[in-house]
Amino acid sequence: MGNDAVLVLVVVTALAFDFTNGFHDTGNAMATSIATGALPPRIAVALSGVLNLVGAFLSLSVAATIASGLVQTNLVTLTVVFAGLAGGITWNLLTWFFGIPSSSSHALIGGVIGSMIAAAGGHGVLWKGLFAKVIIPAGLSPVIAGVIAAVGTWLVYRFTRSISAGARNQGFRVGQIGSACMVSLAHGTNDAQKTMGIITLALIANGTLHDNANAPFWVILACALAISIGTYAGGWRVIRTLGKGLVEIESPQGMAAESSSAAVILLSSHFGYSLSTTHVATGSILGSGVGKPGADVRWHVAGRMATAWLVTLPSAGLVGAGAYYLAHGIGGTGGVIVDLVILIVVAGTIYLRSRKTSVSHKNVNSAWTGSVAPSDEPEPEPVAA
Amino acid sequence: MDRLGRAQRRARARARCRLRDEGKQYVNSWIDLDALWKIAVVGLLAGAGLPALFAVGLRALSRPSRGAAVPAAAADGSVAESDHIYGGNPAGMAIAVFCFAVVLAAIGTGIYFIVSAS
Repeated sequence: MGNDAVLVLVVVTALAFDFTNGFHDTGNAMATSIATGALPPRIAVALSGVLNLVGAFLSLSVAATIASGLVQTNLVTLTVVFAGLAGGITWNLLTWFFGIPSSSSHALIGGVIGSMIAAAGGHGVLWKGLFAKVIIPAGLSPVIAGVIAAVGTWLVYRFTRSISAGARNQGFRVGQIGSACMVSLAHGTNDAQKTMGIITLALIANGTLHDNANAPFWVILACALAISIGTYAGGWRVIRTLGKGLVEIESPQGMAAESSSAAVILLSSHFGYSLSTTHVATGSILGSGVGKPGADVRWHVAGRMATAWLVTLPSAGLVGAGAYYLAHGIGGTGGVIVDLVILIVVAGTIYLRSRKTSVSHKNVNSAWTGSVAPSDEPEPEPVAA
Repeated sequence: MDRLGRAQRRARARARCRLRDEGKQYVNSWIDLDALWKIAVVGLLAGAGLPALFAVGLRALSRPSRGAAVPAAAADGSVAESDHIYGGNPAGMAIAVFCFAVVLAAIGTGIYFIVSAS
């Protein structure tokens, strides 16, 4: 009954998604530390990569959690999983290109739901689960994280009024690195598990594993490596938007933002509340801008992000549905291979386009001039002395 | 007449109570309020409280020792500020160590949360 060739393609695609998940989300933990100069960019992404790897091994209660409660798992086929992953990867790459920190979990869930609707119709989706576990938390979590970060920022500046700015920034850099490390660790435990869950789901759908089986060790290892290599690759475009685009950040704000993110993410997974690390991190960074008296918050950048968050589920869903129709129309292994070729072409095109306005560890901290691509790329400015 | 009114009021209050419970259950099935308020309260204590405690520690650490010379005011009246974090006051040092120890203990608890979740 199983189709091992398709299974291999699904596993490889899932690991590719895990990689995009890693580099899309590096900024959640490290953007503020990079922006304030607490850590050199390369060191920051390396540290975050290692901590993601450690985090992925720390918590091993892996089940096919991402899909359970959202879709009828007995209707899931390998093609559904594959098409869902294609939707998730495409949306992750597009938002990365525009430097928008959108939720990787939403992209994946949107893709899987879209392909599920295409495969089985609306009854394949548990709509109430979708609202209660995905959409409502997405609305609430950035607000909670933002309020906590704002209170933290306000308190921190209040308590350190008597210290000189230089000493304050120096001291808080240490705290900032510590709190950013916690976010990286929490990210590894949360997000690597999602791909482990997807691969486990595919193995179960293929009949390779029995129902309710745990993830085999090779799945855990592969996912941990994929997300940490992705994190190390560094989604510099997203890092730039989070670190420079939203708020001009100082190290006390950075520490308050990362502490809020770490606390909310860890508490949520402890109390079994599902949310997106990206939404929490973005809410926290905005909050750290609101909490500092006189700080500038670029609300139009935040608005653009919020719009992207709203369209993430349906957009990834549309791509997922399209990918399913195509693969199913052609049929069999051939259909999945055609999908994969298209996915590779799309990914390659986005990558090549991104090279024209490259953002890297060298220019990630350039002054924000309204777009993710630093303005000194096309016409180099003289370096200020 | 009065007794009847009281009974009616009690019945109405009971109905209101039942309605409220049902309403709470209904809301909880959509929004996990039980988890949410815990996340908000504990999150505020840890996410905002710990950086604040860190700030208190930093201020204590930077407190100058009693015998230290007060920085002389420059000609324009501004006081040259020291960028040194460590001020040299033993009591401040002790407070700082205590604050940082609490922060570190909280981080340890956070990691314990992650590990024990498996």
